[in-house]
Amino acid sequence: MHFHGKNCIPCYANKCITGKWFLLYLIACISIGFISSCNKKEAMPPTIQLDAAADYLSKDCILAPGTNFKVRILAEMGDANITNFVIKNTHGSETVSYFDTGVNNETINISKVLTKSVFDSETWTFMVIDKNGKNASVSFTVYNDTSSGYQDIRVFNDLILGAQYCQATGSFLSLNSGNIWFLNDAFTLQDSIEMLYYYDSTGDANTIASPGANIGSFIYPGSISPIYWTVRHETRFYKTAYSASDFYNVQNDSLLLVAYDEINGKRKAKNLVTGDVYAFKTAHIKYGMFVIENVAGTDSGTVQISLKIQK
Amino acid sequence: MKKLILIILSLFPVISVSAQSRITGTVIDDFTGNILPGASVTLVDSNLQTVSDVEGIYYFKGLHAGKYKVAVSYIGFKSDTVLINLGRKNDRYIINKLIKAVIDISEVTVAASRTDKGFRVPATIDVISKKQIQELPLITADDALLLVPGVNASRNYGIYNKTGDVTLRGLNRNIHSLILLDGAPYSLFDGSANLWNKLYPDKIDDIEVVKSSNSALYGSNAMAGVVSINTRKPQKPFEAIAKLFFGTYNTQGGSLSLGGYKGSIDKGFYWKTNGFFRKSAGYIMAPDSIRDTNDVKTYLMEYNASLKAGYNFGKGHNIEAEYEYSFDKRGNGNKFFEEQGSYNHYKTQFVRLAYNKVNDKSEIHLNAFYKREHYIKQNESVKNTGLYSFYNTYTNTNDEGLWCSYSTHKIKHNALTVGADFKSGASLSNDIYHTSVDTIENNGRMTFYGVFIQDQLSLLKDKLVILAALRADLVHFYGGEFHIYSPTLATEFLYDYQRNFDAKTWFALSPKAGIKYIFNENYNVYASYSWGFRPPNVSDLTRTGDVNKGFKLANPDLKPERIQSVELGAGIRPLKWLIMQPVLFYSVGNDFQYFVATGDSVYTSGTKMKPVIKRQNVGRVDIAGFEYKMIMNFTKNLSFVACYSYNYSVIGKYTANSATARDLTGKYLIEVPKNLASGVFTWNNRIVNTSIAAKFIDKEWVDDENTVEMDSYMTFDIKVQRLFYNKINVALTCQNLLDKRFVDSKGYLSPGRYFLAEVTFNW
Repeated sequence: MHFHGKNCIPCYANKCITGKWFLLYLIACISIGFISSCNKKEAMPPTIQLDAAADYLSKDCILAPGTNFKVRILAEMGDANITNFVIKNTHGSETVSYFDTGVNNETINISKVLTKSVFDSETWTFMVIDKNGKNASVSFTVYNDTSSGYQDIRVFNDLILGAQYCQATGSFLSLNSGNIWFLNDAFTLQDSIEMLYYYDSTGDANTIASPGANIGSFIYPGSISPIYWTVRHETRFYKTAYSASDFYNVQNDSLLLVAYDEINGKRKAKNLVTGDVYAFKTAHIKYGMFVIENVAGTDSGTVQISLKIQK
Repeated sequence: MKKLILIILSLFPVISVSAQSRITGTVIDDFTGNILPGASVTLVDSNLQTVSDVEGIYYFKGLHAGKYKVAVSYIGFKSDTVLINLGRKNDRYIINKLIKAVIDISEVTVAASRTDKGFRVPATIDVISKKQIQELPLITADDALLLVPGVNASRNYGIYNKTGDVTLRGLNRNIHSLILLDGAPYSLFDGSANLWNKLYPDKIDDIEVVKSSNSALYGSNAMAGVVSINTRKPQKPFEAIAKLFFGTYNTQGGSLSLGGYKGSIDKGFYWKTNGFFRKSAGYIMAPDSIRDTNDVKTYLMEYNASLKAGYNFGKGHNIEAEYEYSFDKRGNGNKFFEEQGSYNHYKTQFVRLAYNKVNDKSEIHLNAFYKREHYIKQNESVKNTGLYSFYNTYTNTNDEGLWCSYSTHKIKHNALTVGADFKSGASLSNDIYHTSVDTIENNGRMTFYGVFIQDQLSLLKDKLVILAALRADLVHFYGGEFHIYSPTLATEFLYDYQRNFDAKTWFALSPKAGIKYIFNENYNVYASYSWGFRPPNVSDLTRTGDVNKGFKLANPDLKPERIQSVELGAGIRPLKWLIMQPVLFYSVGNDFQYFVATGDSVYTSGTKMKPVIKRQNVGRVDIAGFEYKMIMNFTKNLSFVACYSYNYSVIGKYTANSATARDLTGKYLIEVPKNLASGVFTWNNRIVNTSIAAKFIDKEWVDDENTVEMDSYMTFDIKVQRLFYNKINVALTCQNLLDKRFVDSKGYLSPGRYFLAEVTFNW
């Protein structure tokens, strides 16, 4: 750079810029910078909608308690990926998280099967939150069909399940029939098996779970171990505060629908103790409960339960 | 006539100049004959000072006839004074041969006494010079600490370590040692784990290490010792050094140092600026056997820039300001969805303002400092349940204070130092979850007040030195809180630990006493007894969450830990080329803070269960040890330094308030190897200068019950370099020559053999 006179500041591309024009250029740059910083763009939030096709519920309606219904949630990112997807159920003044998961996607396309509970009205809210904390939600309300009553239930009393090395009785239970099978037979009836029992010496002790719970082959050794099955239904369990007498008083599915906690349901009911009452939900969206009536032994021992489940 | 007078007058300057003389000198090592560049040379009583150049040469010109005393000093050597009788038009040339005074290097250190003056401190002080830093096959600054026995500087992942772990004298935490930068505390009040990544070797002029408790001078965080990093002022009106380097795993970078002064070296304005940049693609830390698609290379990107400026009012009297900014991002080695995966990111600013006034009779040192560290952690993981978790931690740690000291030598045979320190720190942290709506807030603050006094009495013509010191510290903790906002299942394992923490105040007295007898320049012995004190840090008091070792519970009932140490050492030079420094020590730690497993395990993030641990006061810890250093200068170009240390660190009495019934009495402290050894062989010659280092790290326990041990290992490093045209230095370093790879206690793989090629330009 070189200088040509008192009004000439730097020279670029062989042209002299006089002081007056340079000052104007400087003012313009500062102004643009100031204006652009003032009008800083707000981050765009994500968008969400429910599929309105015939198979899916997307607006207010009336349903009987225990009725299953499908929703399809469609969401798209705004300026940042969607990182959290939540489904909430509000009835009265209480809001319960039904589903809460972390993701890191540009779009969401999820189908869910939900169940009408026992409350007069419940609002289902579907929300997505992105990495910037921006959110979007959509909701509908389902009202109780007062003309219908509660559903009948199946009752299975005094079921005795054996642990993995028990010779007296099998480990695998069908919740349709109440039949109990040894491993060899259960392997041929995979689609019927929704519950099983074993003993884990490494910490979980006496445990009720299901084929979909990823039980290691060190529990049921061999090539027919549930970890290798082609059909592995997952049942999830929640330990309730209900007493055995509460359980024995259940006559229909009213308590079954509210006893299970969607968020806190686990794949295993472990460290079983006599008198505990568990609620469960099967892969076929059937709700049930069982009470532990007796626990005996370890990997050759047994557990006795009574069980009630929606038809 | 007029013309004649004019002619005569015009000759006057020539006559005057030609009546002046000059003194030229060369400074060399008396034993090796090596030149000593950068030696300080003073014409006593005339305020003239200079330094020897790269060839060890200095000069004073324009001198009139008369008697002159030329005083030469150089770090690690005894000062030399030569009397010269300078005549008219009589240039004199002298050779100053300096004798190595490793035995007595306490004269030139700062950290041991918080003064610049010649203190014969009853301690073993190790000084790593600039020359040694340049010769060693090192990649990071803490690599240089292999020249100090009793220091365990470990980096299991090399430059990819988030932190450099430097522990002293059988204690197992970074936080037990105080790190100073040019006299101001560089380690944060809460135990900054990241600072060794900011101290790159080119910036450092020397490192002083004083082991044993120095709480009597420095208060908390100096329980195991003090490491003082010193950077010199510019030695020339203008100097510049530029470096480029390239290394394994696609490492590349460079550094630039510019500086100069206006006026003279001791009077006038001076400035120095340093810059450093490094990036690397990294390597995959997960071993082959457990590697999956989410394991990626652990990259790094870092840069650092600093500016120091000051004004010298005269020799030993100056004011100085320094500003440093550093940026550091290192990947954790895993990635699920985010572009940069999981990482640790530090942005740090450090400001220092100092005033020093040193003369023969007294010293004043004032150091004001401010450090702000902004830490961002990004964490992605998939839990054992298959759920994806993604959160960011934002932590701001601020540290500011003022250190003052005054020393006087006016009392005959006494050197009295008094001082007062103030420091205040705050740690403010937020965890923001993106895969749920949870937010965790965790805060805490601490204020430190300290006053100290030290007296050193020299008797028997300075052969006997008796030292006594006492420091009082008051520490106040307040503003502690841990809360979760909008909690969901993602943070359910933390629900029970939310609370506001009560304010606490602690008071401690830390005395120190020592005695040293100097037989002559070749033999001395010393003994010392000292107390150390360290309050709990904010994180241990208030923070519950994931740490490397497991899932840590906060312990608001934690008490300060204290240590008492006894040390016996000697400096021996039986032969001109052989120096030996043996040291025996014994320390007792009371209310020692130690991670204790509670016996529980929990799933936090990731698929593995983590042990639940808690920092507790475990009663008593006994640490006994032996250190030995040997320096051999075979010829002027061939030398060998060997260091060995043995540490016996056990829990002497276990009284932790733990839910478990375990008794850890007799168990060894974790991460303290019993034996550490290192050796450095240096050979300088006309073809290529070579330095070979070997390092042995003994086995160490990784759990408090001493059931899992990490194997011992040994590494060999080499550096070859050559200077061209006195300006361009080309160097090649290889660390871990034999490519020894191991998996550490966290299950991560070390990087193995590492090469670094460097080209340095020197103006």
